[in-house]
Amino acid sequence: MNKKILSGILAAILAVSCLASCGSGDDSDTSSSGDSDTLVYAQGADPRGLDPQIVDDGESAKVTNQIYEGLLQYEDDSTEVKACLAKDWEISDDGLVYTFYLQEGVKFHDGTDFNAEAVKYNVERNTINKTEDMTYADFVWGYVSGVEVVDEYTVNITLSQPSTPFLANLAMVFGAPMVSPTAAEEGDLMNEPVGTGPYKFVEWKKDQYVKLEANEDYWNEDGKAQITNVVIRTIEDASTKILELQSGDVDIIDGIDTNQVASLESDSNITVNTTPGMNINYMAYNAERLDKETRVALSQSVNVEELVAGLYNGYAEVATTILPTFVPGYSADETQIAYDPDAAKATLEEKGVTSLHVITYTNARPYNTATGQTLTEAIQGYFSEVGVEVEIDSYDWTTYKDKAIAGDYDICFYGWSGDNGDPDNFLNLLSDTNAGMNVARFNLATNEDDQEAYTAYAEMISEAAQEPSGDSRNAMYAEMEQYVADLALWLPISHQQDITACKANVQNFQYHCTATVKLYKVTKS
Amino acid sequence: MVKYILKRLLMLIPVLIGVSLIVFVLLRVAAPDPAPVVLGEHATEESMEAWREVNGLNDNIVKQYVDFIVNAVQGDFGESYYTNTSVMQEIGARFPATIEIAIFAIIVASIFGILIGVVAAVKKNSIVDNASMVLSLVGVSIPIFWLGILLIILFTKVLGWLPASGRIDVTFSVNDITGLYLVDTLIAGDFAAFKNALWHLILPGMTLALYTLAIISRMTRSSMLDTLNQDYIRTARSKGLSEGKVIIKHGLRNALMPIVTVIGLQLGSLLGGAVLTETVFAWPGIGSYTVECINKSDFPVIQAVVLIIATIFVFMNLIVDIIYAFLDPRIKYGRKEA
Repeated sequence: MNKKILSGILAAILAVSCLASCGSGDDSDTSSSGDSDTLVYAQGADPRGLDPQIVDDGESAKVTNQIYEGLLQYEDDSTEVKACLAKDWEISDDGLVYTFYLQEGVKFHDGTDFNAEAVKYNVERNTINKTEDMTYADFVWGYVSGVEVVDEYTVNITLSQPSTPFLANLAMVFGAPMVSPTAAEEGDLMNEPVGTGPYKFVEWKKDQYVKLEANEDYWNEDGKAQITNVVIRTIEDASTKILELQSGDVDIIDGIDTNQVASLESDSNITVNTTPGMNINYMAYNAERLDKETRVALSQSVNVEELVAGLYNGYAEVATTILPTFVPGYSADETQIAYDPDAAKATLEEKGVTSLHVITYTNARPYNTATGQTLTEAIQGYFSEVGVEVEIDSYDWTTYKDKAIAGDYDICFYGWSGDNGDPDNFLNLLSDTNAGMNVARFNLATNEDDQEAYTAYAEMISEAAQEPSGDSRNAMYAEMEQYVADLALWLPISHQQDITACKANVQNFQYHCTATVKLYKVTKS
Repeated sequence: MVKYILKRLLMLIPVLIGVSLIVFVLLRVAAPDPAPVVLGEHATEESMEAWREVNGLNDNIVKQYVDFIVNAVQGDFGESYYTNTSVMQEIGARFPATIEIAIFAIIVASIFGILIGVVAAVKKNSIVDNASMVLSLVGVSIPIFWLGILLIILFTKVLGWLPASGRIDVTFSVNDITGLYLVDTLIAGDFAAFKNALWHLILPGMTLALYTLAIISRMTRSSMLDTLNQDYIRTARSKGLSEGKVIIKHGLRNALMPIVTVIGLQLGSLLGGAVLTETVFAWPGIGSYTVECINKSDFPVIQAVVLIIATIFVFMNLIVDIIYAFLDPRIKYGRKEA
């Protein structure tokens, strides 16, 4: 009997070994990526969900952006807005009423008509009917006071106050996309999305992939999907993702670490793309604790150019302004506090500043791939040279956000990825009264000069947000940039680039500066 | 025996209450506030407060716990804070992947571990023994993420034999019946998909098996060495039994008790998820998902996963105890000693 068991076991081992060793040919036959009608895109985390009016993560957006559309959309290479489900629009003279003329004959993937009633439903879902977990509802629709159906394809949206960023908000991937009212009422949009986009949802296997297929009935001939099947895979480990690209099972990957770019570039079958990121990586001084002179001196002690060159391998630009260069309002004439360690040392000695409490995050962020910990330790070195010792408390991101809100620090490290390409989206961080956003705690400043400066700045922000877009508005933001630079509330460090890679046979792939992708144009040879 | 099993199952109730209480209190006392994570960068203090209110986090902790237990008893663990999806649906989507790889790994580890351990004990101090013990040492000490990447480079990039990651190629569509792809593809009669799923299982399964294999082989070796020095082995040999029979029937069978214990506990641990293996091979199991939920303070999911893992451990211990009775006829459960 024992002999039988033993021989059975040995036979099983042999069978498995044999199966493994002769498996080479088959996998290439079934390789999804070898099929020119299937595009496989790999990202580092699973989507949170597929309802664009609830989620707020980039991984979800890469899926929902293929399925849903908003009234407006961004140009391919900028954050200028253009028509989408609204073919045209008008703004009343007082800037309060937006009239949208809708595309006709558009249907959601479940057959529901897209019309003015559907728009009304979506606006009201984000306003009077919104739930607590709709993360972008207030950001996109917060100033909306009413929505009115004029006729089947015309809708009026009224704001409670003029808001120039409103149009840009309507092109965003969060909050703004139009969902099927039928599916929203009767279905489960978080798991079974229904939009009007060039791709339709097929299947979501959690932590594995989301499968999409081309929408044959798509309303826009110019926007029809070129590849029939799209699979968006979740591969958390960065090395595995690259190996999958190199072995040919994946066509496109994103979120590439700067240390891995060189090995990818040496592979002739792979194309590496870099896109300027719409983000800012910064160090914030706590205005509740540090006065302007101290802040200026600390900024003088850091050689930002050297820091950025050392940490980001050439895949981040030195931030000379808070605004990335392509955002309206950017001005090359802004000047930040110049590197001057001798002056810094003299001031800090005079002020008696010898130690600081710094908090940071341990992980990488989209605006800081080197991790907060590495960045903080590098800056600790600069501070040490001017006689200031730093006590660093590091936390995982979730805990860190709690600590940042609590405000028990002299300096913290943070960053921002822009939402809509409007300068207000960056510069209002310093006027915000929410501690989780305004980590410099400018609104809570204890120094009288800082308090006055805050009041003036908040007024400037409010005025600029209502000013119609154009040169005059851009000049207002340029002025505000210099205003806060002189106050040294932040030390702007870098704008991180987004790095993606695809197989050489993939064409027309473009990573948008809002850190999203549209795959309908992509082809494979 | 039935009475004994029922008694052990009843013991599950205080264990689960204890475990759930500890996790529940720890999460609410020590874990970061979930509201900023769930509501994102644009959350305001008001919106976070409203969210906490809706999710019962402002209630008295005793009320929160009682509500949780009352719902859990009815099989309702609530919804994930982060995905607004039923916790059981979230866990159900990932647990079969963990079961599949755990069973694969424990089978591989048990077969090879016992085999290596027996050979090492029989050929004590030989090259085979030393080599097997070096392998065991490597098995318990090698970093999984490094081994995993090496295996992918070798078997995927260099040899092109096996796929690097995932459960099955995306061109296949598996109809979830049990959630175990090897089973579901066989039920569907799709042998190409079965083969593809098996290929995908080999690298992560072997990687996961290595650590367990090392432990089992070391345990087998020492247990076998003990047994082989017993008088009844000498008696068996002096009776003229073949060496194979002595080793297997008299040696291994008597040495199996501690080995079964280790296998049982290791299987329990594997069923709790294998974070690093899952991450490296993009294996959609419960381990890395749980870590992700801990990082996001997704309390309902963490509570449910911990309860499930605790239940698994209690069952594994029970199964091990039942197997004892079969291995050693002297062990009788549920009878008073004479």
